[in-house]
This record gives sequence, structure tokens and C-alpha cells, in this order.
Amino acid sequence: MKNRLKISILTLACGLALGLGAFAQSSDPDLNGMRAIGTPANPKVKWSWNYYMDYAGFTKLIQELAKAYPDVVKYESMGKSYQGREMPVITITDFKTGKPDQKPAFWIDGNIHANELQGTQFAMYTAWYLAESFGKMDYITEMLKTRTFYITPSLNPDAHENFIHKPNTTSSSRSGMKPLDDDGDGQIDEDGYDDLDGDGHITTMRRKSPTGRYKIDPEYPTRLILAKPDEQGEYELLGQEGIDNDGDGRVNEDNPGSYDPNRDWGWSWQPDYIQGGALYYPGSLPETQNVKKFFYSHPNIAGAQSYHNFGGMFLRPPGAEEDAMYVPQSDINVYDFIGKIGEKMVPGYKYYVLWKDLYTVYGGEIDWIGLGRGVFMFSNEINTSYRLFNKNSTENRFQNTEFEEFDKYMLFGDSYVQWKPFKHPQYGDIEIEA
Amino acid sequence: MIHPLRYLGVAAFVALTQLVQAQSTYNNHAQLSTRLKTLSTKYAAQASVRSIGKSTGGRDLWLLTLGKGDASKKPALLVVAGLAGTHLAGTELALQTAEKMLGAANADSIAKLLDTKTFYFLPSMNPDAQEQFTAKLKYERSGNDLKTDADRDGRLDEDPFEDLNNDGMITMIRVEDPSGTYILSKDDPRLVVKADATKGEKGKYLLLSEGIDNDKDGHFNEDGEGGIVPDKNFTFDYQIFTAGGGEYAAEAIEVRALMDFLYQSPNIFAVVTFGPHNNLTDAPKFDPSKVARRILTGPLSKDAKAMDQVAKLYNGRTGLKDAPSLPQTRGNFSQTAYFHAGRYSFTTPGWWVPKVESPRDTTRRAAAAPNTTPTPANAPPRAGGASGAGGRFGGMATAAPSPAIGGGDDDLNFLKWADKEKLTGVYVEWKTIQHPDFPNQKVEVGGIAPFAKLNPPVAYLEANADKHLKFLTGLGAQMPEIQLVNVKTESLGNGLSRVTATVVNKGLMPTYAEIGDRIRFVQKMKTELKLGANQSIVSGKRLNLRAALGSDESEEYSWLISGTGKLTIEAGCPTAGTASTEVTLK
Repeated sequence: MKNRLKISILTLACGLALGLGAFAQSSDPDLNGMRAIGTPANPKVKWSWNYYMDYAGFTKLIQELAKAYPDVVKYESMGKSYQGREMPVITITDFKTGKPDQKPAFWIDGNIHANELQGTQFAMYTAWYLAESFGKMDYITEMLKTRTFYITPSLNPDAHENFIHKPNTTSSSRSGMKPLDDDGDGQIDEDGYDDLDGDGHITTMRRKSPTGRYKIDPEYPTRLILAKPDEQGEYELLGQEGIDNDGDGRVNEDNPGSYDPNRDWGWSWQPDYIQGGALYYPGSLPETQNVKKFFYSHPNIAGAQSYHNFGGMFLRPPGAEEDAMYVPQSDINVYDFIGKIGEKMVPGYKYYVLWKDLYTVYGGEIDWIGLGRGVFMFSNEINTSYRLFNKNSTENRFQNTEFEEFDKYMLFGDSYVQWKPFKHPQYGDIEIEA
Repeated sequence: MIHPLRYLGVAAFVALTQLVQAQSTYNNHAQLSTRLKTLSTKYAAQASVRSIGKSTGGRDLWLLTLGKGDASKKPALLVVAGLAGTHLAGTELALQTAEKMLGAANADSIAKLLDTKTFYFLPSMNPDAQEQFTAKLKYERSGNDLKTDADRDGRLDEDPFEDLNNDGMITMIRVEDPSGTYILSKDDPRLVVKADATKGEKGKYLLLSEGIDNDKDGHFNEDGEGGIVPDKNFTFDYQIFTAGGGEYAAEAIEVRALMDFLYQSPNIFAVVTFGPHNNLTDAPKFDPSKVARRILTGPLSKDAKAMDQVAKLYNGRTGLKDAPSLPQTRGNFSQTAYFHAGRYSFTTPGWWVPKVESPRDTTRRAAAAPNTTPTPANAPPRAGGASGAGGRFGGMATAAPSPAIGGGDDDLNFLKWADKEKLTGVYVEWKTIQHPDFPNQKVEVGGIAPFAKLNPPVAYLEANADKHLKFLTGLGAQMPEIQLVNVKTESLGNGLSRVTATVVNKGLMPTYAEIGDRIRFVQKMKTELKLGANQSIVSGKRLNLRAALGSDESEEYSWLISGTGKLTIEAGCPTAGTASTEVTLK
């Protein structure tokens, strides 16, 4: 129990609270300067962390780590994705001390929702940090003697690739890429988004309308805000960029994929009409089956963490109220201990019980690992708007301006695109943003 | 175009057709495979066989498809059997029904059905367990061939049954022991029953399955061959942490093969399962409280109505009486097919032990079953003890709704029926043995033979196969039928025309179950225009989706089209078929 705790806490620390400041500790002759404490100051694998890696990117990093640290880092494929990509699992441990599969192990995955690229980054950063710190930081060195980490950067590599390289909204493609008939008309993926202006993004469409309820924000003109109740609006919003491809009167109703890989797990599974995003049965997808097989062949996994985005949360099971009986008080004590330390370590983040504090989820990975396999399991929603200016906004998103201010002061306007006019086959004269 | 009245002649025709060859016992998988291949060769024009996957033990899961033309393009019924490994009778009934349907394929009514509909049969969906019927050691087994650690002690299949009396089958052992809670039945001393304190009864026997405690953990035969029980492993109301249920829903490859086939066959209108559940003689009722929550636990109102209609059809066509109630069980296929796959789903054992009403006459019974053969349907050793219980037993049988399956009253009725029919091999006389775990105690082996209660001698099934053929053809005749009627074209000038058409369902059932409208994998009722060159729609949607169309329900569609020449209107869905008509614009 105690050992599991240590691993979990360490992982929270690795993933979320790095770079606390500089302190002279030891000198490195190859470093033109002084090592900042707690960091791999002069890593063997020099890697940039200022961009989002695609599949080739994280594959390269894995290979370089394994090459640089053959006694600490090995990798294997746990199986193929729907489109046939290998899904790598990195094993990190001191291979010279004991057998990896006979040490208590901690599992980390990321990016089950493909648009949540941060999960991939955090998983890979953890792998890189552990490898680079082994032999340099006593705590890590000792830990890897007696513990094993299994880290997989993406549970959804097909859509991860699609999200980075194809036109998308900020939330597509959350799903995987398995083609499905979403609207029950017998045709598959026949009415997806259309990049009408050819800018490589799927954004929002608006149209001038006397009955529209939106107006231009005078302070940030790229943004639409709700008109006041007694005020006339200027625009109506027409949804995401696209046309009615199949002539059924609806726009973008049958996109590629359109399911949720995180509703495909074997605990309290429910079908799509009860739990949106579910497929035929738990394990309909090769990606989730691969993870299941890996867990069954590695019964040494004792703790797990799944990286998501966004909202600043440490979520613990269960996903549904009726399963509360499967998390006994002795387990809750463990979760509480770790969760509360997490809140302290990462300001703005909250330790939550999934069903109670967020929403009910049936067939989620968190429950299959946590309840089905009896492994301590957190699902982390990385980042929160608190982190923009280290405070919580007191207003809702349609009134507050924190993102616009952040864009203006910190990103120099790099995160918005201007509205452009467009002639839409169904809607007539519209504008596309941003 | 199908008219239900035409099917009334089927029964007579079938009765005259003797197709089923004399068969003395149930098939093993190899025999079943040969039988299916022979059938598809003999009736090549109407039947085909393919495997939809393999069981855990590597046995093919055979799909027999009946019908002419492209099977996947026609509305279909699916018959599933043998999910319960102990239910060989269901497999045999499904096969005989299919054989009889093919044998009568030239009768007008059946020929018409085979033209317009597809009949899928999956006769043996748990072949690993069924194989135990013909194995060297015969015992009732439900699990597939997956090696499991049923008692979570880190060892696989380490405590199986043992055949202690060397009769080739596993029955029960009873041990005379002061801590026992069982006694001999007062109604039939061949049976061992739980002592009932309210009747002043005190236990005398321990009752265990036949075998020894191999791993000395105090449990007998708790981890033998047999892994996941498929009919506990489906997704609806799946129960976690239960013996045979698997680690998670749909873990068993048999389950996934069946659900994949069902989900990927959108033409399947309804499913009929032969198994130890019954919702056909008495349909489930609509209960608003069961559909008010996020997770449904009862049928939707229109579906309950349709189920009642089909129950009436079943009772009328089969004429079967005194059916056992046999409620649905958690994680079974029949309920998953409705609640998760969105199809009408019916289930029946197909055959059950008839109720034996007359009071027991011990003299006659003893005479009817002389105690001469090794495993006779014999008189009890203390037959006299049962005299005077006759009247009470008769009363109990009337009151007991489920005589076929289970213990207690079911066993009594079963033995009574077996005696009446002079069946042999259905009961093993108690015989004293030496048992290593009970060295100084009296231990006897015996009881009702495995499989006997659910699976009568094969000859008993033929009449039931006839009855179920009548039911299946009756159900086929009630299936929905889409027509496009009142099609009009009006020229409005300037190259503009108005096209109007009404879509109507002239079948006796809705185009699909109401629950299908909640399920994304059930294709919806669709009416669409296929435009010719240089035509465009000025008003109206080219493609219209709507909810299931009830019996005799209709909807009118109208479009304004610019252009001339031919265009096609198409309406329907895979479960109801598609109607199409061509119009010409001037």
C-alpha cells in the first residue's frame, strides 16, 4: 500500500509540478552553467518541448530514449490501432535489478481523446524525465530499482495523426477513425465537416440576421458575445464549418468516427443511447482491446493514471453512483491522501469523484482499471483557465475575457483567425472565423 | 405483397413431409457440421452455410442462411440456439425447423417467404460446452473452453469433477453427516431435498456434486473445465464478479461473434432464441416505471404491444401448454438483443417436460419401471414411503408454474413424466462408494442424469419442430411491408414539377422495434429521391429519415423539382425492405 502511494505521488510530481526554481546542487563539466534542481539539466536525449509531437515525433523520442538508456528504457508494441499503427508501450525500470514484470508497476496513458494532445506530451515528458534522471537523482534511481513504469503516449494514434495533420475543430477528432453511420441512413461518414475556406481549420459559421442573438464584442472584435436581453443582436451562429452533403436538411451530421473510445471499457458498460459514444460492446475497438490484453499479461500493475485535457482535475472512480460500493473506505482513504496532495502541488486543480463532481460515465477506462482490475486509478484533466492568470474567473465564458486577454498579452494575437465572407450553398452569404 | 392467409396451408404440407432422418441422440460438433453441409448441398438454391467465427476451443460457429437471392438485402429473422451448453434440444429444434422449412420450400407460402425474407440460423453458439454431452465424461457444462481460475487461487482448472461410480457421467454425491441439511424427499425418495424446518424436518445428508476436493481447499469441484458462460456474458444487465460471467461483458469470443453478426446485419428484424428462458407464451408487460430511467429495464410501450401480438401468434400456432415461466437472466443474449441491439427478441425452450397431473400410483409406477438395468428409471428403494403423497403432489404440480427446469418440484414432475414414458438412462440409482474426503462415512453417488431434464430423447422433438416452423412462418408473414402509393406528378410550368408520394407499411408489425429509434446501429425509415441529370430540388429534402412506421401507418412526402426526365423515389429500411418507383417529369 505504502509503495503504491509513493509511486502515485511521484507521478503527480513528475507530470505536473516541474521547474520549481534553481539551486546549486552538483556541477556538470559539460554544462555551461549550473543545474537547476530537480531537472535533467544536460540530457543525453535533447528534446524540445515547445510543440505537439505527431506519431513520428513520439516514435522518434521513444527510440532515442531506448538507444540512450538501454538498461532503463525498452519499448514494445501492445498491438495495432484500427488503421494499423503500432501502439508503443515504454517500459521504464532498472533492468539490471530484478525482473520488470515482478516489480509493482505504474501505468500511464494519454490521448485517448485524440484532440487532447497534452496527454501525449505529459506521458512522453514523464518517460524522458525518468530516463534522464536515473543515476542522477537518488530518489528516481532507487525507485526504478524496485518499481516499473509502463507508459503509452497515445491510446488513439489514428485520430491523433488526423487531428494534427487534417482540418479539424478544436474538439474533432476526439473520436477514433473507425467509419460509422451516425445518422442511421445506411451511409457511412457521408456528411462530415467541410473546410470551406481552405485554411486547414474547421471553425464557426455566422450569418447576419435580424433575429440573431449575438453581437460583436466591442473590445475584442473577433469574438461574438450574447446581446443583452433587451438589445437587438446582429448575428446568428450556424455551427461548425460545413455543408449539407447528403441533402437531408442537416449539416455535418455524419462525421468520420463519432464515438468515444473512453466509453468502450468493460465496467458498467452501457449502449450509445444511454452512454453517448459507446459502440457494440466493451472492447469494440482494437485500441482498448490492446490495453486490456496488456493489463491481463501484467498483473503487477498497481497504480494507473490517464491524461486528459481540460479542466484541472484529478478524477477518481467510480464513474457511476451505483458503483460507489466498489470503492470501499480503505481505498477512499488512499485516493483522498493522493488527491489532496495533488491539489496542493498544482494550484487551480481539484480532486474530484468522477460521478459526483463531474458527470456520470458508463464504460470508462477509469472504472475498468480502478474497479475491474482493482488498480488505484486517476484520470487527470490537464490544465485549467486558472493557469492563465492564476485566478478563477468569476464570470462565465460568454462574459469573461480571460482567454482574449491571454491571447492579447501573452500570445500577441496568435490564437485567433479573422472572419472571412463566404457564399454557402445552403445558407447564402455567411462569414467563417477564427 | 405477402398475405398472411396464404400460410395457413403450411401446417398440412409440413405434416406430410418426412424429412428428418431417424436420429437416436444429439449431435456432437462434427456431426452437426456434416449435417449442415449436407443440408446446404442438398438445397443449394435456398441454403448456405458459413462460419461466423470460432469458439474458444476452435469449433466453428455455424450460420445457416435460408432464402433466395442476396440474403443481406432482405428483411430477416434470426434463430439462435445452443447458447446454453446444457440445452442440446434447442440446437436440435433449430436444425429440424430449418430442415422442415427447406423440405417444404416448394409449398407456395414457404416459397414466397424464402423469396422475400431471409432466415438465419445459428444453431450452436456454445459448442465447447455442448461437446460435453458426447464426451467420455458426460456432465452438464455451461462454460466455453477458456482456461480460467474460477476460484481465484492462482491455479487453472485444478479441481474438476471425478466419476466416482464409473458410470461415465457426473451426478451428485450424498454423505450421511450430522451437519447435513438435506433429507430424502418424502414425495419421491430418489430425490434428495433441503430439509424444511417449518415442517419439522432435520437434515441428514450433505449434498455435493460428484468428485473429490482435489486442491483440499474445502470446496468440491469448484474449478474444473469450462470458462466463460456465454449466456451470462452479454452486455445487458451484465453481472460482474459472478461464477462463469467472465472478467467483463462480451469477453467471450462467442459473445462477440454473435453481437458482431447481429450489429452488422441491419436487416435482422427479430431474433428468436431457443434456450432456457421464456417470453413467448406470456409476453412482458409495459411498465412505465421501467422505462422512466436512463437505463431501461422493460420494453417500450409499442414494443410491449408487438410482443403481445407475437405471443398470441406463438400460443396459437404452436398450441403448446403449461409452459414454464423461466424468466430472463442477467447478461443473457435474448435481452441484450432487444435492449442493446434494438431488435424484437423472443425466447422459448421450445420443448419442456409436460406436466403430469394424475396423482401418483406407486403400484403402477413400480411396475412400469422394473429395477433391472444399470441406470433405470427405476422405482425408489423405499417406494412405499411415497404412498399417500399422491394427492399433495398433484396439487403442487398444478401450483408450480415452472416444472421443466430447476430443482424440487421440477425434479418430481420430471421423474414422474420419465416413469410414465418409461424412459431409461435418466436417473442413476444411489450407490455406495468409498470417498477419500469422507473416509469413515457413508457416501453414495446417484441422482438425475445430466442433460436429462432439458433434453428429451430426440424423437420427442419432431412434433415441436413442426409447431415452431408454423410459428416462424407465421412471424415471417407478419413482418412489415413497405409500399409507395398515391404517387402523383403535377407539372407547374417553367420546368417545375411537384412530386407527391405516400409511404405506407402494409405489414402487420412496425418496420422495426420502437427501441430501434434510440439505437444508432438500427437504420431508420428512409425516403429519398434519386434525381436524374439536370434535375434539382427546389423545395423538400432529398433524403428524409423518420421513426419506425407502424402497421398501416403512412406518411406523405412532396417535393418541387426543377428539370425533366426520370427520377426514382425509394422508401424503406433494411428490416422492412425497400419499395421504389420511377416517375417521369415532363
